[in-house]
Amino acid sequence: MRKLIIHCLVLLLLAVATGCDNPAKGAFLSVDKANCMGCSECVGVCAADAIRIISNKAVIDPTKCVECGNCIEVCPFNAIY
Amino acid sequence: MFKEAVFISIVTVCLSAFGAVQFDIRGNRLFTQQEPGTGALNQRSVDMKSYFHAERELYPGLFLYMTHSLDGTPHADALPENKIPFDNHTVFGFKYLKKHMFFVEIQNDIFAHADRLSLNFYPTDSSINQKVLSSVNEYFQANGKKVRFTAGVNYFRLNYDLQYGEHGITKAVDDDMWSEIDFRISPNDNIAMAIGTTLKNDFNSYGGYDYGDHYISLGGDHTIRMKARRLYFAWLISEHWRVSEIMYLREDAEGPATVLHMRPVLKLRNRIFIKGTATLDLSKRMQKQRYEMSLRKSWRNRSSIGIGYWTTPGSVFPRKGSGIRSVFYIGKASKVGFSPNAQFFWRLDPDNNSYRYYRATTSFEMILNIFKRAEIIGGYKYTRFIDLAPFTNRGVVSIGLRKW
Repeated sequence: MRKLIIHCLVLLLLAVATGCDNPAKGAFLSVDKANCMGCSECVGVCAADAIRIISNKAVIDPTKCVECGNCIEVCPFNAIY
Repeated sequence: MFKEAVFISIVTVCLSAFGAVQFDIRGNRLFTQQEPGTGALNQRSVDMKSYFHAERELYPGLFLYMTHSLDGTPHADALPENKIPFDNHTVFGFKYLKKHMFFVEIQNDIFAHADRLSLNFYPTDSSINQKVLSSVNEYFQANGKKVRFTAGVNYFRLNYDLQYGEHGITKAVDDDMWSEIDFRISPNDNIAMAIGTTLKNDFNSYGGYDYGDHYISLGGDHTIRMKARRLYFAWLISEHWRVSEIMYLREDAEGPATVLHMRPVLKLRNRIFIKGTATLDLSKRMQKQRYEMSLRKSWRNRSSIGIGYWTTPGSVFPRKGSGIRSVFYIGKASKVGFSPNAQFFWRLDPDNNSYRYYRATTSFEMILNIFKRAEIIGGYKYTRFIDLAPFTNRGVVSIGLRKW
């Protein structure tokens, strides 16, 4: 088990160092629920009324999102990507 | 602002009757730069943020709670990116916390001075002006020895003014319902298998704006002790099926997707933690990734310092960030502390496919503990944006009081 975990950690380091930087067509914005604190800063800057707070976490509606990126810049916890 | 202050005072008195009360109230003086990148910070504004939460246990496990927050400024144009400069938010509900969990609540947001929004599902010449957002939220979780069932329903109603071209303004409503169901089974303490779905029903637009995310997953968490060290390792593999007509038409990443997630946390001696997080969302049209690495050292007197690095390649806005976050209390049981923080970000420049630095945030806060679990906070925060519309450089001086 320990070897497997070390293997995963090495893979993680390699991925961070060499990760693909080209944005794929069709990508949409997501919320990392582990980092989101439900502060709703993102709701106030959303240009498409696409963000709701559900169970104290932000949820981005991918059908409404216009990908302006405002929510990414104001998130104090770097939880939107 | 005087009316708001009176309103907050009334709310505070009402909440005090509840028993357990938390609050955080801050007044801010904001300085912004009218033309980004040149000149001094010259446009001034004030705003306030307040948060109150109170709850009372009616019967063992059954709580009545109320939350109120106010975030507002009389200068709606001070921050161009802020679409809702004034938000009066109120929540009222019941929750039951025992072996099984249940809550039901009503929420209300009153928006003032909100910007007009041109939404992609309305005709080109139309815009909406958000007025009131109301919602009813229910959540239920039943916990067995090896199984867990979760169900949640959230119904939102947005009241807004609709303006179409040169025609007059009409009142309209938008109704959405978000619902989720999750069933998971744990053969042992470390492994869990889950199946579930998240659905959004849009009752006003045609069915193309409905959205569904159906998934099946396998995950686990493990703790490994190595003498004085300890490694916590969590992992998750899930297969998704995302359904949306409009996303299909726009060639967004709907359809089948695989999400991989792992999070190792290594605890060393002397209260040092090393944490890594990796999330990969892979589908036919998307290879979105998120990586985070951090190192954190804490002391017994609540002081801590941490450095972190995160990157999100493959996302709509591929970017990297790095930062330092710290809190220092003077002495072993000090009532005085200070917190210097800094963050820097780089974003992929689509013109030459290389990263460029575009944002830096620095802040410094002083913390004075006045009595048990209550603090006065004062600080300054400066954010610099380089060539990033619509954000302007800004500095904020703030002072506030918080209790938890």
